[in-house]
Amino acid sequence: MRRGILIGLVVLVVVLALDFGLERAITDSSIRQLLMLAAVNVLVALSLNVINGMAGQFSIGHAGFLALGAYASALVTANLHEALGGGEITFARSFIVVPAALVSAAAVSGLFGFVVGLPSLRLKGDYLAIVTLGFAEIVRLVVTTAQIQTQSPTGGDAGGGFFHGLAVLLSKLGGQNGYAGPRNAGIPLYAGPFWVFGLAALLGVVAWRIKFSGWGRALRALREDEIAAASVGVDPTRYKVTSFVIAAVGAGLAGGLMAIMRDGTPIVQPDSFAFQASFDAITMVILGGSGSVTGAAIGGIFVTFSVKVIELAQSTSAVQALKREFESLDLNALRMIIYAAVLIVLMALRPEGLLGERELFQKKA
Amino acid sequence: MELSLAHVTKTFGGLRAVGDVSIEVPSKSIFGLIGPNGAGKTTVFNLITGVYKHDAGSITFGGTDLRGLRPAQIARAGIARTFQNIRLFGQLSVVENLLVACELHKRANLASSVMRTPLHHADEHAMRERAARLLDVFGHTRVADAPPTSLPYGSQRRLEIARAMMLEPKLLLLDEPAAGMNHGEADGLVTQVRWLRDEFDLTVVLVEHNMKVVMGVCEEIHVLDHGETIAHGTPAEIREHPKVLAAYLGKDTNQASDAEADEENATASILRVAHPSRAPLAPIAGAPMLRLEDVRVSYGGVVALKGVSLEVMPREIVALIGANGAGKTTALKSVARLLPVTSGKIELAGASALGRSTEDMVAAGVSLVPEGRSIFPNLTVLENLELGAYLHRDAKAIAESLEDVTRLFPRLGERMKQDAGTLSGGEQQMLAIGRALMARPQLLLLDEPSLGIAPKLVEQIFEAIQRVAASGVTILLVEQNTRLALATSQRAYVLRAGEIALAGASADLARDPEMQAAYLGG
Repeated sequence: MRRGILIGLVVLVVVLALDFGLERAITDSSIRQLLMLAAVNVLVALSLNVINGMAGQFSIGHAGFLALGAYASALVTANLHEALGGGEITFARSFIVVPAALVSAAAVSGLFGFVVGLPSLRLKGDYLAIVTLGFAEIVRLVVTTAQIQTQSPTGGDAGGGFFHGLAVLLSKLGGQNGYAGPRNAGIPLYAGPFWVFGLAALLGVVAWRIKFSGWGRALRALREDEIAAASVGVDPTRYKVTSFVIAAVGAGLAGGLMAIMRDGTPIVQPDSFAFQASFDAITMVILGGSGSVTGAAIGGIFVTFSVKVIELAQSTSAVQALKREFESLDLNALRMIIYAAVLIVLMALRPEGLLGERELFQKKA
Repeated sequence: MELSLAHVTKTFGGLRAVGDVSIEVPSKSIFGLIGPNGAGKTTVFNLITGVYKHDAGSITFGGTDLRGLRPAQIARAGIARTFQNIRLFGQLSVVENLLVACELHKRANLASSVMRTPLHHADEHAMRERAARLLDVFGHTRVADAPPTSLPYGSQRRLEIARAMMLEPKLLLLDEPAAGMNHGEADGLVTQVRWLRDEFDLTVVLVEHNMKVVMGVCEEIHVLDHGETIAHGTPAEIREHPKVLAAYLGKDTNQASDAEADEENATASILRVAHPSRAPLAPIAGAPMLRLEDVRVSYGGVVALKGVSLEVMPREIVALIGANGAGKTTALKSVARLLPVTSGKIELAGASALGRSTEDMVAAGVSLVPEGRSIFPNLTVLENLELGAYLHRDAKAIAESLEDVTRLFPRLGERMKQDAGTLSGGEQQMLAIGRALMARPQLLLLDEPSLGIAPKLVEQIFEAIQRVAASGVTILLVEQNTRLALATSQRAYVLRAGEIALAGASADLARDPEMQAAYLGG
């Protein structure tokens, strides 16, 4: 117990120091962005791990929850910033803005998690996967197309009444071009390393404790055998829906941080939440080992850095030479092939992922 | 009356599984629910626990109507159960399997678990103490952190009972608790069930085929056949009840002539074994079809076979018997190349089989009928059988095999279009054997074909096994029922703790006084 408090204090000091010192320590902002993104992706993987790993459901629409979180957080941050009179982004002020942004992100995402979780009671496997995929695509397409709706060439009545109002509201999100604050001046990036790394650490602990609590145990039992779990009093309905809500809240927080992360892009675009994003999240969980908290974290970090490594490889002279030779060569597209290859090799050698369901640093019970 | 069923009816797609059944289970009694396979016993359990909803009638427990309650709520109401086909949580450790069943007694909610409040710690502590106590009672303390799948079958059954007891139930439903247990274990079960009732002051209802267990422990017995009540009474009354004898043991008037017909059939060849696209397994004269020499198998640090040597001659039925956990299934699996062998030799018709894969073995003419049947429940009977001939391409030969299997098991012929999962336990066993025969094996490995099956059907299945052997198939039989195994086979090996303890002609072994000691591990 004492040790826990001590570790907590050390982490607090470290993230505080990072908030003020990271810029000086690492001058290349793209590297800083990468580190922060890695932490956010850890949250993405940890949250998806609750549904796909522990509960054994198969969601391929995690990007939908990320999108909801990102837009909610961007909206709140930008408007709150205006309301506070604009000006400079200070560390002190981030204690008002970031919590407000993240709470709204978590709430919106969690609410939709509940709605999407309900069909999981009746649907299994591929059918549920299709529902989650549909949900994510609906979120993305609604945001993308809202603009077109209101600017219809026939002039005006693009639906009328409630739906017209809704379309006008949604069109404020900027459609295909993305949302960059009410006056299009960019979203103020309030979440510094303190928030990003701090939350990653905190939620990592939460994920660990969820897994190693009676609740996590019940969830894993449900995954193994639903009828047997029900026969010992574990209600599939409650546990499945709750697991969806928890995963959605986690994804909402991750999306929320992504939108307002220092050194990130000051604009939220629907294209960042296409199927690719969901697929990346699944890759993180499966690479690390379904059901493993530390595995999910490792998967999140690995996937983030692999993107960067490939980008760096793009600029090496050897690749440049190759590019001159073959014009259509695009390593970013190749990334998918490399992923697929890595996944196939991993599934062949270690079908349970790097760690399986085990954990690093796991005490013997 | 604690548990009461009144005029309960349940139909599945036109088939009446349970029809107008009324049962009153007195409080704190040990109550038996018996009947031949397919009588609807497990369906009754599934109706009580809410897995299925009954179409008509009512089920009440302690005065509460259970209609409309979900399975988890029924568990909360104090009804715990075990399953005919063991349903443990495979990826959770033994102790975790028990802890899951404590969820409903927990006071700490998820938030307080995440905060690791004192309440959470108090809960975990109390749960672990309960689990430790039950593990101790059921003799699982040593394996608390092991995966349940590593335990022998009988231990898994006891673990399921322990898990059910974690609920602190008022009513315990046991679905064939003695299936897969040997005589010693079954006797132990009788004592354990009585002890449970007295110690925890609960009502026990059990479905069981082992009559020694049923008659030994039950105070009242209810008999079902084809989903309907045929008798009810004390063990002594049930034993003498003419309807029960007829339904259960097949003592009907046609039996005599049937037996005669069977006698004739048993010697005639019923299967076509040779396959047009396969070279037959032909050991040189006097050489064995299968030979194991000093075979050692270990998994996860546990040595399961400690140097087993045995031989099976062509066209012979050889039984491999022994207590639970003696290594019988391991031996069969290593022959079927489902388990890697640490050292030793396995030879098929004189050639080493160690380099072969399981598919190779099947293609060469060796098929395994696995313990617990492992049929494909969501495929039809026909599809299951067709998959048995998966490696064959010759449509005519497949059609012939199908014809042979239907002749051997006419019941399967009647149920070709049905999902295999809807078959009764005995029919599923027939299907598992039929599926293996579809590959036209020359060596058939049978793992516990009598497991959890009513006596009448066991008889039929063993007759079928005799007929398969008469068609020229060599058989290695693993069987819990020693008497039956020795009566069916020509020779037998007795395994004890991974070693051959005794071997010889079955008829001699059946009379051997050492036998009991070896078998019971005394």
